[in-house]
Amino acid sequence: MSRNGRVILVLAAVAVAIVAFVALSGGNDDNKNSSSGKSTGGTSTAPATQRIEIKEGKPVGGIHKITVTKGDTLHLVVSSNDTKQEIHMHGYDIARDMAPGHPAEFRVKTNIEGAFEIELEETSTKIANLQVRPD
Amino acid sequence: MSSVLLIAHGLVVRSDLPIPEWLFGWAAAMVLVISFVGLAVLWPEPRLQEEGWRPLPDWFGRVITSTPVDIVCGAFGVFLLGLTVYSGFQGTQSSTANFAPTLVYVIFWIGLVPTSVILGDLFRAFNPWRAIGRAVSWVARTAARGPIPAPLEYPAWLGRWPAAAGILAFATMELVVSEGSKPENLAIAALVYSALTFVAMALYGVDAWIDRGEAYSVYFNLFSRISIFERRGRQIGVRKLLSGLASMEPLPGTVALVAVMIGSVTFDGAAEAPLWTNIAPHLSDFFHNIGVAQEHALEAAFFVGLMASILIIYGFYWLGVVGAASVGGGFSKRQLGYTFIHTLVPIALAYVMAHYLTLLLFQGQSLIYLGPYPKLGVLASDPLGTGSNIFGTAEHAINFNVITSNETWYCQVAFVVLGHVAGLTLAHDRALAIYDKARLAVRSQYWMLGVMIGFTSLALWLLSQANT
Repeated sequence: MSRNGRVILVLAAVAVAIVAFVALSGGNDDNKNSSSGKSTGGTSTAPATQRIEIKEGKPVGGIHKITVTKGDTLHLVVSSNDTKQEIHMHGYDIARDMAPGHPAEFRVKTNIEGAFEIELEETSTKIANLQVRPD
Repeated sequence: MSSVLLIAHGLVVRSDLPIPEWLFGWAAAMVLVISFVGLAVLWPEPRLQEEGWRPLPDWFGRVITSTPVDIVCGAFGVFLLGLTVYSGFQGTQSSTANFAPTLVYVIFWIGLVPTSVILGDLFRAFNPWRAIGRAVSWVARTAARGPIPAPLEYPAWLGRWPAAAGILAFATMELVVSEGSKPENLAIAALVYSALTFVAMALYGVDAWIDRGEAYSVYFNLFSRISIFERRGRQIGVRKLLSGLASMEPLPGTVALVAVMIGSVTFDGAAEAPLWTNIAPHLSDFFHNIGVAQEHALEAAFFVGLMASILIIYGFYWLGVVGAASVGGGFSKRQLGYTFIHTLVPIALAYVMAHYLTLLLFQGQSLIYLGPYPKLGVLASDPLGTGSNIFGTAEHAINFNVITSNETWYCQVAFVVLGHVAGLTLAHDRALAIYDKARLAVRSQYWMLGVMIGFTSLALWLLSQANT
């Protein structure tokens, strides 16, 4: 490669680095501010109770997405008027029975980061996606 | 009607969080900067085309390659294959509480990838099919009092095609078949694959089939070419990092094999992303409406997704090759396609490691527990899931705190960026070696750089889309 070619490539790399720095350091700060804002909000007020209703073997309103920060206590109630099944929270490996009139209630200190499925165990129906984010 | 998605693999109890946007941005920028700086400062003469292999002390090679070591390793491989089939049929049918799925999908399929990259072609020694084939042919040779030639010669056109088909079948079992991680089904698959392998070895000879056709030998051998360790005859030696890839024979089927390797991981990643989870129910309904039974309609949809991912990878690579051919130099597209395919092996490694890192580190603990120091896990003590406690380790649950989400993200991005650098380096070196005009070498590299950046961006995008 000619000397000029090399110089042009290095200049291109510098240009990308500068653009990335300007674009991302702004975004980075925003991100950090908003996420720290979120986490202080999360710790000062305990997360509200999450409720999922099961109808004809499926979650009403589709698969729920539950996001918590590691260390939060998750309070989840799964209820149904027509379905009797075991509710299984993977990873944490907690199972609760649910029947009409007897909701399954979870109170879990979230100490494992990651994404976890919550399922109707017998039919392997996914009802919620639990995301435990790092604090 | 809308169908509820049943997730195919029952082994993943904890999935990854998506990498944060700012990390995605930085990683993408870093890839571009490294690429430009790399092209500007990389060496002007080819350096990796010769392996520079140097033997380690003689005694070391003689011990490692000795008959007793060969027999012990082979016997251990046969034992694990046997235990997989036995647990599959006799054990509990829960995929996480049975030995078979974790051994096959985690320890074997994923664990052997970094092992091969670090230590070289270790699987060859432990390969149960090679061990059985060699034992049978030794008995036959002894009985016949002389060598028995294989009835057929391995056809040149077959190349790595059987391996490509074998890896595709494995990926289908893992990602498409809805009960693909059910222990019994794995035992059946292992028996069918063993039977096919024995027939092929009887036809083409044990060594010929192991070198070219046996899917896992070929698969792990590709990764082991990154390693600095290589066996030659009865010697073990060291060579330049990555140089084993440069000396890879460009056999037919290699492009398809690499496309299957990258495409199947791509599909597994995409299957967790909203893009696919929105399409899949519609595809599944389509198959159901044209008469496919409900339980197979979803499998059909996933198979279409898997094949589409593989074809996209295949097509994108050929696009780069067509571009590189257009700069001149007198190479056909086919020649160029096979000349540069080795440069995608580090990228395939990056895909596997980034996507499956936590599955290996977490589910792998069922067999090798990572506490303060590694020890056997629950499945070693209770392979059938029946409550036995052979080694007294049945109480070890998985330690989910061996790696945090932040550490996972940095590792994933590091794998992807390193894979990119390795691919780029190999492509640069190969271009210098094949073009006699430096100007053509540079222009062909722009196209290959485009291919690399495309695959690397896709990997980062998949990481940022995981489980969103």
